[in-house]
Amino acid sequence: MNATVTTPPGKAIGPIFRRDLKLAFRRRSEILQPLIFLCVVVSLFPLGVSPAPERLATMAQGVIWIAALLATVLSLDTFFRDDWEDGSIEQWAVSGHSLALIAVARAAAHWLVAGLPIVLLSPLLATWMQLPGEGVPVLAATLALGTPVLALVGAIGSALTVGARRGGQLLSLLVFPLYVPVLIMATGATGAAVDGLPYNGQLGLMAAMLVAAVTLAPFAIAAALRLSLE
Amino acid sequence: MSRLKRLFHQFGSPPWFYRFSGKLVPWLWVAFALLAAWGLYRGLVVAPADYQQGESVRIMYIHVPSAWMSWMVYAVMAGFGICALVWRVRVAEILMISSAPVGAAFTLVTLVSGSLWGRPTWGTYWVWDARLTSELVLLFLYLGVIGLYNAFDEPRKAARAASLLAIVGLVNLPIIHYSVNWWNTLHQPASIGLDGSSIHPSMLWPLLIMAAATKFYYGACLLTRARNRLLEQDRGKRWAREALAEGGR
Amino acid sequence: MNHAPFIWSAYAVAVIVYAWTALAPVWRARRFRAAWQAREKVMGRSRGPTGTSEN
Repeated sequence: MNATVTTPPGKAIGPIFRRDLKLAFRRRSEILQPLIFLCVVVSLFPLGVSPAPERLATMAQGVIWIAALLATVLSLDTFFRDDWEDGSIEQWAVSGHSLALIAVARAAAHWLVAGLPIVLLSPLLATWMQLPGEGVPVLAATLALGTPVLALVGAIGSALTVGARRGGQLLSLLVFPLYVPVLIMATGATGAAVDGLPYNGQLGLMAAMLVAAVTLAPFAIAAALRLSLE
Repeated sequence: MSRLKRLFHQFGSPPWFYRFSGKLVPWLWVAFALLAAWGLYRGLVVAPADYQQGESVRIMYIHVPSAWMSWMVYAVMAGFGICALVWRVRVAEILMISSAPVGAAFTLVTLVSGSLWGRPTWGTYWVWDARLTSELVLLFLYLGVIGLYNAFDEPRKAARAASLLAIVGLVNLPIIHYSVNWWNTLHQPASIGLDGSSIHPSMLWPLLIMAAATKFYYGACLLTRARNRLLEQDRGKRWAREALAEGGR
Repeated sequence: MNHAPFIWSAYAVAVIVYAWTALAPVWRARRFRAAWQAREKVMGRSRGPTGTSEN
């Protein structure tokens, strides 16, 4: 479209991915905050409900997953805000690079600093919540498959609210209904593993959701970012 | 220009749409009133009580048509959203956002009547039954669309953002519906409603009449709201000034 | 168990919600029209009978 752009559209992925990681590690507290939040939320349940192991175990996967949803939304609030304010989004849009691919790169970087730590933390959280041992690897697997979906779907919401007034409060209302299938399948798989039932089906469906989110969400994110520039 | 294309362009023209819908709305109300009166008479007076659920089955004649409409309106809304995003038709943007409160009203009535139906049948006002749960998620989706629209100052941008969200929601709805159904089979399945296979005609007819009535109601509400929004947004333009100065319809 | 209160309250809620959904825009249109006409009167007086704004 533009004669001056000589690089292919996919070329921006690498630099943006590296830029995001660099930025994230410079602002370590921003990565850590959602994770601390996650731990605090989970630790409130034994205090608020009951410390009895058998009661905690029955709701462990649900509590951990809901806390993960909340932490993800917390970390996504500012996903595009800085780029919007300093005009980066506008630069991407006019650069001739594919906005969808840029969105994939950003979501991947975000997952690496915000989603992967949740997966790594899950054994600790599972121990706190007295989740039976059979459930722990499955919980980690569902988090590994599910958090990228949360990040991609949440990025749609973040891109939609970036130009809006009071976007932050709105974001949770927009994305939580869309997170319902992930939550159901993830807790279902973990629950099945704890009960000694097959859980391959749920994991397969979660993988399917991941594939669908990776292929479809970037276009929605790109469209939302273009809308924000109008 | 083909006739279809011309019709499409006419619909996209606010003054034409305003005049046309102004003529249509009274007829939609008349159709709704007649059908609703007939359907309610057949449902509340003529139809027999269910042999299992007793009189409480009469809640069905408001609950089930509302539930059907709550899903249909979402699909229609997302359809308008696609028209708004792809062809940038302003009337489609306005129809899209005008659908959302009506759809939310249908969803709310479905939830309330469902829970009032649940009390005599299940013995409790709320059961996390698959249909009620999906309906609740649907209500949140509607509220999200309305909330996103209200978060923008510029109406056209707001409508396009809300359209995109409605489309994302439409893609997600089958997945949500499926997963909620699956989740429900894990836990105790309990569902009110009639098992569709053998519903007696004396109960089916009022149901269908009410379903038709709610469609006219939706049309009338949608057009009234869309006309308001058009007039308010275009108040500086000549056609709107003329329409406002006329005083009446 | 008597079912009538549940049936009546279900229909009452439906009537209230649907009536409000239908009437709210009508009231809003009336208010808007009245406000517009009042403003137009003031504007017309200050600008003379032929004064029409260009926007």
